[in-house]
Amino acid sequence: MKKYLIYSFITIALFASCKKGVDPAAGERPEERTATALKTYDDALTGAPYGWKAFLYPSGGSGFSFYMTFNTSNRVSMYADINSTSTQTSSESSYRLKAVLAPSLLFDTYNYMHILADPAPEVNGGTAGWGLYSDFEFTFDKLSGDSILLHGNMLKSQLILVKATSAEADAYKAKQLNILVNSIVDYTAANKNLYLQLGDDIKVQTTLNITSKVLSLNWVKDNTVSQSTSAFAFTLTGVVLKQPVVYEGKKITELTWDAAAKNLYTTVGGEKVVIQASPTPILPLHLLIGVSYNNIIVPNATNYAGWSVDFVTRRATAALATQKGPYGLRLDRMQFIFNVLESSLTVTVDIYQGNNKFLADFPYAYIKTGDGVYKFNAIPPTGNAGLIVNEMAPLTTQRIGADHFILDYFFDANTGQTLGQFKSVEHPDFAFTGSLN
Amino acid sequence: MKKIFYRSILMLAIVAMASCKKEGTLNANLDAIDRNNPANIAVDTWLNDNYVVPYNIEVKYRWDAFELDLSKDMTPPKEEMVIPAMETVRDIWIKPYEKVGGANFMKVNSPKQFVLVGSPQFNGDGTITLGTADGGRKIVLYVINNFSKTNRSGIKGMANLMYHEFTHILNQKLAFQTQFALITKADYTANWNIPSLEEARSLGFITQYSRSNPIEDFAEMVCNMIVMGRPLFDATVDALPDDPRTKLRKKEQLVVEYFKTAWNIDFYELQSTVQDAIDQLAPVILKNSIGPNNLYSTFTAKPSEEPQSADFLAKWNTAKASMDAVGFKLKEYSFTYLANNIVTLRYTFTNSAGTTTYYGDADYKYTIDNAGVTKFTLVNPQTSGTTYGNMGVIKPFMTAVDSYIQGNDFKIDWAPGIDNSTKGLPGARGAFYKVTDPSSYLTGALN
Repeated sequence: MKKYLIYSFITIALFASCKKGVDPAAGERPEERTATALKTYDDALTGAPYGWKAFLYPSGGSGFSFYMTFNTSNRVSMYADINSTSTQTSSESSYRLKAVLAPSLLFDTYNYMHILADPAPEVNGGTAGWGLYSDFEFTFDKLSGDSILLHGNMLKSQLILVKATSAEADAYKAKQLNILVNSIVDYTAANKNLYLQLGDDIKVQTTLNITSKVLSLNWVKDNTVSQSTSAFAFTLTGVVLKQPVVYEGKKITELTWDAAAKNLYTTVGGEKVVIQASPTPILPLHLLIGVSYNNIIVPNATNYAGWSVDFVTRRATAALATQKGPYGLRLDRMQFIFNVLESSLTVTVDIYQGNNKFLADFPYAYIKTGDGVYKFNAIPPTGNAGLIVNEMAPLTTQRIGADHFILDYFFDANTGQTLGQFKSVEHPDFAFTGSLN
Repeated sequence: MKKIFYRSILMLAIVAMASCKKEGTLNANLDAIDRNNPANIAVDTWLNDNYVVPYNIEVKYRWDAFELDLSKDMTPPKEEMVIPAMETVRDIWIKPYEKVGGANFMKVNSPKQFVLVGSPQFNGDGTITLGTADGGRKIVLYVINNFSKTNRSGIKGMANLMYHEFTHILNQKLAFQTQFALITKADYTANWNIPSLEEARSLGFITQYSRSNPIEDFAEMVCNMIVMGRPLFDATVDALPDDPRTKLRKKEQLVVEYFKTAWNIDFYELQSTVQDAIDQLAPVILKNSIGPNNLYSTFTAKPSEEPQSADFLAKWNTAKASMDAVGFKLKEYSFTYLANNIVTLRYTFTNSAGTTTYYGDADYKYTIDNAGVTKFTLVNPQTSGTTYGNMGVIKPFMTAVDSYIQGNDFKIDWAPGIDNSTKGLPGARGAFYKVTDPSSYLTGALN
């Protein structure tokens, strides 16, 4: 009985195993599905009658906008907000759709986009070997309605394509992008202290860093500085942000340039908010030092904007003393480096023996009151600084380490530069300035 | 026994199932995935006509990350740079090898693929890569976006690269002599880029990179000998102390021997062919290279000892005879270019015994126009001084030469029949050709 069972089982197995036409993976073949996907993307790219607006956010930060038109013979033309040529002159190169792990869009000969990824720093700055950490080969993530989302194959930069309208296409061709970029660059250069007021009386400092393409909001509440930042790219109307910047739950995603009023505005919750310009800095310096600025560099000079007579005299005394001292040192610039986390200040003094530069570090621990009065307590210096303690005393031991100080901005009318100023509370005649870095 | 029987049945069944082969074509259409055939543009047609058809070499300029180091950021080349770069590669590398190695040499030995990269490849140690070769099959050329066809040093850089990489390929096909590695075996180092070129030369290496290992050393010898040209290479080597000079000469000898025995190529002929090709593409233009603080500021000639144009030699000999008659031996003349478009013409002569040397100087104002035509006008009054005074003495006897120099327009160019590889080097021979009759000219050494 058992035997029959086995024999019949084998027979059935033999027949069954020879049956043709069983599909191991139901549905379309992988290459067919890939081909379909590529065709969908291809049709979308080449099918947009007025081309695409593209926003590229490199993984190294910053943002850039492009206007691209794709044709059916692998050619793409583009404008970009990278430099004055790319905003005015259309440039053509090759592009390709290819399945590299996933369906991808490759910009495979040099065009404006490659400037950002160029590893040679002389092309567009950035890090040697990496440029701005940007991509030119992208994987399709999503195709929805009038937009396509992609991410970079190598560095995961973000690329967003949005269908352009006929009017936008005409505007790019009429070099409107260049006009707009220049307007905003000029505006931010002329108005360094921009702020927004979003529903309360707190002034939110609004900074557009044109070089790094980063917009940041800074504000003070209960003596703490808060920040919200995002990369931005230029559009035909203003700037668009990579992700919203948020103040108290209020989101900003875009700024618009008002050519008539010559200012920037945004729309928050359906309400138009104009960015205001202030002649003076928005936030007190003592809150920004160590956060936005790391140090104040007091230059090598005998006199300088914002230096009091007493400081000039004391610096000259110290300079003469180091020169006459056993090592014959020339006093050069002084860097005041703040570390907020450790509540410490390091005064790094450059001293030269002939052509050889040495650094002398004078460390201080500080205590700061809520309204920004500093008391710097000297920690005995060692090394090079230990050798010139007595020579530097007119500046260090007798003033910086002894008095209370307030930090403030000092506007140099001659150069138009805003400097950082130390003012002694006990000796109002002792004040000095340096560049904010 | 029964168990064995059932087991054999089971085995049979498995074999039967496995052997039930389906006949069907493998019809996955991979073109759909890899759309590797984009529409051709003019660049593709040119590459097809100049590389694919004659040499079966593929030039890949469209970006393909998988041809390169995937961990590094690089960019594709600009389309407009592809043809100029590949024309140069053809002229300075393929054509010379064809000439000295035979028409089929490159068809057989050339690598079958070029990959072009627009940017350099940055390495972790602060160096950049300009070219790589692997497996005798592929050469990658970087920094194509900075290429300029008229930039002589750029072209030399590319030639350097091509000959370097191709030497690796030749070496992979036929290895070089083992004794090459023994000449400077103690001084190879992984940190080749830190010690100076002077140090490398003083140890018997032609470049710093030579020090990395014998394989690179051999390739560096080949490409530097070719790109420097024989005169510069000789001058460089001869300026070294005995020990490194002997080592470099030994290496040179092995390189020449390798090309002869392994490939039946006369290395020195290859060297001069490449020099000619470089000069053809990006010549050193003499009219732009002469003047104060320029490549050349003096021109010196000894017409009695050096080949001359017959016309000028006759005038020189007339002057010489007149000088002889008053007891002076005329030796040489020279031009020294000074500031403010002044050039000093100096005749060097001795007393009849040859024991005292005298100089006779005269200042001329000179002009050089865009076509390289120059004109000398005597400055009046002349500077005072002994040598200028001497000129006053010999002037009546030098009339034949003086009037030739003053009375003609000359075109500045290289001397006839000059070796291309000496152009731009100290001591190269230049000439002033009479505009109305180019068969008559002044010629001398430039320094």
